[in-house]
Amino acid sequence: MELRDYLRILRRNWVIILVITLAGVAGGATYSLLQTPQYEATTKVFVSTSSADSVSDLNAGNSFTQQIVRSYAQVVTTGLVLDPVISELGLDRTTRELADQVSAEVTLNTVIVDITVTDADPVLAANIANSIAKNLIEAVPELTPANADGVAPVKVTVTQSAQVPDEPVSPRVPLNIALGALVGLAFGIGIAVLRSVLDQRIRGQRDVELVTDRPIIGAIAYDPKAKDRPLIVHADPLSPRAESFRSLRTNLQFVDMGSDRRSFVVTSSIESEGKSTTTANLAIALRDSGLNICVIEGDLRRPKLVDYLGLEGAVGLTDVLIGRVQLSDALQRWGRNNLFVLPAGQIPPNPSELLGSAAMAKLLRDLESEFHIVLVDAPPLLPVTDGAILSKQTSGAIVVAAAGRTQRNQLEAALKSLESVDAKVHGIVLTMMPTKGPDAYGYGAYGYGYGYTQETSSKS
Amino acid sequence: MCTGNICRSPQAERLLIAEFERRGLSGAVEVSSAGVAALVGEPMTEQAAAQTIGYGGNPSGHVARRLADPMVEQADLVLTMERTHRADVVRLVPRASRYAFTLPEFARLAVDLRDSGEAEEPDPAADADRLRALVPQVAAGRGLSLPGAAEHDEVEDPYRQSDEVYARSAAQVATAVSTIVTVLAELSRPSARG
Repeated sequence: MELRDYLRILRRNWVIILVITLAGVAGGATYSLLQTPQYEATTKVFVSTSSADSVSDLNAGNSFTQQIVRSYAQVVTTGLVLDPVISELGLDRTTRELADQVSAEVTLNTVIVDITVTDADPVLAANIANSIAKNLIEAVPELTPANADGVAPVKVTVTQSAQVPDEPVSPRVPLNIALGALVGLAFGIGIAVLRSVLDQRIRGQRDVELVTDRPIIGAIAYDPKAKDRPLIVHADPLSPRAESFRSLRTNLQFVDMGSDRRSFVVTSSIESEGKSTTTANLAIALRDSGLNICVIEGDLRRPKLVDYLGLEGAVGLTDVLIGRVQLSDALQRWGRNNLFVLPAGQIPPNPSELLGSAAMAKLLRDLESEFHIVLVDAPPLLPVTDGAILSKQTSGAIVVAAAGRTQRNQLEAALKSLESVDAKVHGIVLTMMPTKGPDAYGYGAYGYGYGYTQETSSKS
Repeated sequence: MCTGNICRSPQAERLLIAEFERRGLSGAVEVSSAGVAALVGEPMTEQAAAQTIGYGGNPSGHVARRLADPMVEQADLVLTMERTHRADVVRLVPRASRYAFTLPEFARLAVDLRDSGEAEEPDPAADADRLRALVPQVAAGRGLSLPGAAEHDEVEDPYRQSDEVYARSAAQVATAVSTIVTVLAELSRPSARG
């Protein structure tokens, strides 16, 4: 994976990432709302030891004091100090519970102890803090008894008594929300990357290149209205989609140079990848360039081509193969120029046998000599063998792969099935290519843009 | 043609005859009807006959007959009520795929041809030849426009249904018939165009 790929993943999944990030924010906010606000009150006490005379004493005194201070800080959270506090304030909690609410910290290199009490009740927090300071002072003689001179070696003074806090210290709403957002963002990106790694669907040129070294000879723009107007080349010749069929037409002329067999099978890995639509539009595009074209409906199981072309498909290929109908009678002209269509005809019980028969081979030879290009619309390769059989009968296959639909392993398996019968694969045609977004297909990448697209885009 | 040749197809036949007559083309056209599973010898059903009169056709004297190859072979244009009928016709005579349409389909395509402005100027031949020459031109428009939904290209079967269905079916037939005759008359006689 390159940086480019990661950027594409982020662009592709930005919605998911955004949603999960927002969920994190919402989580942080909810957490904050559910928390009981906690208040902190702090009292500062100053711990001093009796003064010394000499510098060395002073130094010793200093380090002694520091140790004493740290020890006193520890004493704060013990029963010695807290038990009297509990009884004094009539608190309904154990020493341990109270100790959890109290923290005593020595500010570095000073002799000041900060005693901080956290409680849901601000007044109580201040009272406890002050009570602790008071009781700490009272505990001093017990801990460090006065020496012979009656001078107490350690003295604790309250330098700042605790005030009732106005604002709660927790929950910290901005912090929680920021944390939630961060966690959500990380989670979202993780999911996006995982999805892309696990997602086997072909989305563009790069994915095809991972599967096969066969060239991509066309990329057909996705058209949400394709169902309503499958014959885009005719209906809207200036549309980007029609332009992509013309690019495919151009590329097809380069394919299979030097062979006198000008018949191609259009097939795909699975169903509904746009075979019939591609076949019909490619045929019309080829016809528009002045060639004589014949299209054969080779899908004898679920013929769709004649419906797209608006023809009657009751009689066709199968009737010709069994010799019941003359080829010239079964061929139907489409439109005003030289595009002829041979429908599937009666649906036979044994399509694969018929398609692999010698009669089929002869029919194809006859049609190749009659027409410039013969296109055969075939069933998908994975469910049935018809497509592979037909590819063997013709000069080779054009394999259609629908972006965002076909899985990489499906395309791989489909190409393998062609390989296993020694059929040639002329190239891959990507259909349903997004025209916007991270995988958008740039015009001119697979052919020649004639500027139609710029015109239409500048208009919009 | 239709299934039984006692409702839809005789209606269409009689209405076509009436419409062509109104346009003075009755001499150029011969209209007949048949059914793939005809109730041979039967007259039109009462409701169908009533609907025919309502739309200005004459239902009397019709006798149902079964569709046969020669009828299709000799026809210049075969109009069916459903797509399955069209398939039946083409199975009988494969070449008929060039001139067999469902009735609403032909009406739709005829209008397309007129609107496209691509109809060829008719040769100064007889009306019949001019009309005949229009069929392949209409056929060339197949697939260029879609019916929207497949059933738009079909006429509902009213046989043994309520009067309401009969009325709906007859309206479909009458609309298609008048469209077809209007357009064909216009295109075959450009001089007569308003």
